[in-house]
Amino acid sequence: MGIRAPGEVPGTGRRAGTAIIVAAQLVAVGLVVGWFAAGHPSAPDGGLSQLDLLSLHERVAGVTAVGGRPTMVVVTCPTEVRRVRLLSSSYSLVVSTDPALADRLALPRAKGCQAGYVLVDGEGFVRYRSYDPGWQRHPEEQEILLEHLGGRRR
Amino acid sequence: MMRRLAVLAAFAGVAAAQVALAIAYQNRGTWWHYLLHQLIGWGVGLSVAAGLMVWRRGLVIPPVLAAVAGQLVSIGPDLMFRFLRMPHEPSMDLYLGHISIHRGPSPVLVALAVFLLGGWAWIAAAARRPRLALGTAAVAITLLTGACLAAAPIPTQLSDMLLP
Repeated sequence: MGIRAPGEVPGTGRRAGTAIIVAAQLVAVGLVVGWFAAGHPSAPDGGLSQLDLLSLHERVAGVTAVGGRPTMVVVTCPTEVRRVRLLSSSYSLVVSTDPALADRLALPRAKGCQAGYVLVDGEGFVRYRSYDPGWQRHPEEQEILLEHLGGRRR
Repeated sequence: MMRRLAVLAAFAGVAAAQVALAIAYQNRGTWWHYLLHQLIGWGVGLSVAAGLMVWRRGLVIPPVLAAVAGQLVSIGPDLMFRFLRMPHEPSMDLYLGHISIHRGPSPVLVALAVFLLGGWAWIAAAARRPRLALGTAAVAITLLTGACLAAAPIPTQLSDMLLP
């Protein structure tokens, strides 16, 4: 270790590699410590936060496909409602502050302003559910999923 | 001199790409996913490199190359989501447990452990400690596999999604 082979490029050998790995590991430990220090759990929402996997196929009372189009139903608290963003016209958007709906959609923390949403296909089945307090900044993610629920590309 | 500059330029390029990738995950509100998949990718890449270095004595696989290769496999489903507009599917566990790791025990700690073990395996292989290298790499891979096998199933009903 530490002896450079003939023709070896500086910075690509054993000693440099070890230094790079140790430095990267220190950074990684720092990032993980920072994650937990900020109060985050090891698996937000049981590991389901923004998993982007359409695993549901379920009807829920009070939830429909508005206009027969794939629909995003956001559940949040009243103080968040005024900051509504419109989805592409191919999709419908509903924002609710109904606590009972939050419970039916398995989004109980939405009542405490941790916004979440479900995506509903054109036939009215709930296909996806996630917490996402920053949902208004993530239209690309939502529209990629909605595209697979019968909608059209922009 | 030119080769040294080329290596430095390559390092700078990789570092810039890593920062850009981290910012992209952060802007999408998916920093947690960044932590999981990068650490696992780096760890598995280094573990595989350690195994190859033991198998072919004298071979030194640059750790940055090994880590980035593992990383690209690990984030494959995220790249497909972003660039091919393809939602995740359970079969994407082929990409280093990309789905199950979310629902396994202590995902962030498992990911960190995989990276630490993979790095130590590479260092042991570089120091010509083959048994230590193989053993450490095997523990890293086994830990990841075990965590994915122990993962809770992906819910198929809303009632499955309520935490106890």
